[in-house]
Amino acid sequence: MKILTRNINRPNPAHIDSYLVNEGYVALPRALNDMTPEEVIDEVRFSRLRGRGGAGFPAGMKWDFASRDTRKPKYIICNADEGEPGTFKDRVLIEKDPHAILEGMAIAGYAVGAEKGFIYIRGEYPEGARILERAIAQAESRSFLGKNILNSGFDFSVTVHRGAGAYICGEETALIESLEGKRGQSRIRPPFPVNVGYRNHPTVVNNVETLASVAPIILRGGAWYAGIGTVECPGTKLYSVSGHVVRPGVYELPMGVTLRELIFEHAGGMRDNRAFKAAFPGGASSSCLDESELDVRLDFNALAAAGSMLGSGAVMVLDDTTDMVKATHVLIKFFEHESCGKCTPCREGLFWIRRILDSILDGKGTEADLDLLLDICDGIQSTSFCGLGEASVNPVVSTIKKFRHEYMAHIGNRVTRRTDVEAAS
Amino acid sequence: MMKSTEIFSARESKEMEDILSRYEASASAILPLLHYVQSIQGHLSEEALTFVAEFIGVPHVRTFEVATYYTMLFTEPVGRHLVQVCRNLSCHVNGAENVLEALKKELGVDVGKTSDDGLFTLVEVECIGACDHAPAVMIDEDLHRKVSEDSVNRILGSYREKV
Ligand SMILES: Cc1cc2nc3c(=O)[nH]c(=O)nc-3n(C[C@H](O)[C@H](O)[C@H](O)COP(=O)(O)O)c2cc1C
Ligand code: SF4
Ligand code: FES
Repeated sequence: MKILTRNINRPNPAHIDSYLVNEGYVALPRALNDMTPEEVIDEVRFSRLRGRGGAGFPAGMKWDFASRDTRKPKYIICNADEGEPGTFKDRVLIEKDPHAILEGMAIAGYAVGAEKGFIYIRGEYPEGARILERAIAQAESRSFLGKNILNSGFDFSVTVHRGAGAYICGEETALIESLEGKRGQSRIRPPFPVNVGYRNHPTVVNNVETLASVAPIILRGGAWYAGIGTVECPGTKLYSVSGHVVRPGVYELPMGVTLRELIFEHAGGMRDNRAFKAAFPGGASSSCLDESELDVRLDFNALAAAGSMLGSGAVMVLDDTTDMVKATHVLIKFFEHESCGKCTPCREGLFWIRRILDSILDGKGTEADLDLLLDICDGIQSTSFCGLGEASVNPVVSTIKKFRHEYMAHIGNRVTRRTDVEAAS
Repeated sequence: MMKSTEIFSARESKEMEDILSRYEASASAILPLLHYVQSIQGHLSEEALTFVAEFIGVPHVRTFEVATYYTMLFTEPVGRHLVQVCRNLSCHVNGAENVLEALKKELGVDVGKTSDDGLFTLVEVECIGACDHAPAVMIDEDLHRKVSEDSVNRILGSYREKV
């Protein structure tokens, strides 16, 4: 089922003419001419579309909150920061179907009463930024963006804003700080951006994939969309599959496909016929799944029930050659580097976790270190200021739980640190 | 205040005016202007940061705090080409370490350092969204997919020729 990826295999897919061939910019005039803003929001609500940036918040509800706040101006921000390790699905939409994103943004603007949109795109996607800028110019030249769109009286313009290499700027409040020309550090929530966002005004922040789902929903109706996928997580999802699979790539599938089906029926199975060992189903921030969990459904609810999370749908697949302690070390180094430094548990705790993992990998760890790690993880998870710290410990906790024997293989049967032993002898 | 024409060409000054005019809130132009200045000058000198702050009309600290926060902004000179090797998980399990070692050897430098000829600075970066073509290396704005120890030489060669 191709909804989000319907256009990506056309020749010159990013050009407006390619987009127009397949009902491109049909939803926007329909919304502007035939629907009130409330009706647009209702349609998105009926679709039960949930945000694809990671948290799965209902998009219709978010738009409703922003529309009820009467302060002007309001803003629509497309979150194209795509920093979660293992995620590359927004890149595909940006490079291959930028007009789907722009059409979704304009419809969102009409629905909530915003006349200005920003696309905050990660600095590492310079080509994507250029493609979006060209697409905006094309859309303006045909009156799908700009002043008085298609003579409807509605104005909406979009500016592309490039980030500069900070994962935390994908978090919506840090993104807004960054867009305001500051260091991108998270704000306290509540208040939420729908009321107090960019320049302290009502702001809808939605992921690229969420916004790209909007035009098809307006065209075919919320009920149609709600019938795809699972009852609680409707629609199709773009899964980014990478690691030890035969065909890594982006797969659009109805929400709720199982991990097994995704790997073995779509991504070509495990490479070199090796055995599956583990997968991080929602990028670096998620808890790993092991072989006994291959039949877990990859949707928000099923993964939460399994103690993990869907996040952005970044499925990193690992075979039996993988050292899970090293894998965890890689992910923790990432979080340590990306911690914004604002709060102590995340800033200091991640440093200490990395140090302990260093020592375990150096053959200097002890079994007591594992308890210490879990203790620090607990502290970080329960007291961090924002989602980065909260989720950062998931790989550590889950690999200790499911692959403790691999830690023990590095540790051996030492009860005290090798350095202590050496010092004593 | 220094006039922009003293540091930048007329065309560059015009581009900076254009960037600033895209934003109702001028402070929002800080990051785009720093990106732009860095693309011309290679890094963000103290002089450049002061200039951009005055150009926008914000306290100097505003451009300094931004320039020192973001990984992609450099306050010290870097080589003509920035070689960015992804070290995150999907690249890691596809041989990123070997690629990094090959680059170190070929350039004769450690991570964070610039080759003697001043052409290349080698850095490690986090996931750059190309995990389906791991291991990935980005040089300046070009993405190189499925890089191997053997292709490192050829890739660097194409930049050496550009000089
Ligand atoms: C550390 C962190 C990083 C995030 N990175 C991204 C990101 O790169 N892209 C994204 O869309 N959402 C990201 N999010 C989620 C956003 O905060 C926000 O929930 C999302 O953009 C809302 O859009 P949605 O409702 O359409 O999902 C991140 C959250 C956290 C805590
Ligand atoms: S949890 Fe980490 S990223 Fe979030 S505010 Fe604290 S230090 Fe910054
Ligand atoms: S892990 Fe290297 S590009 Fe994603």
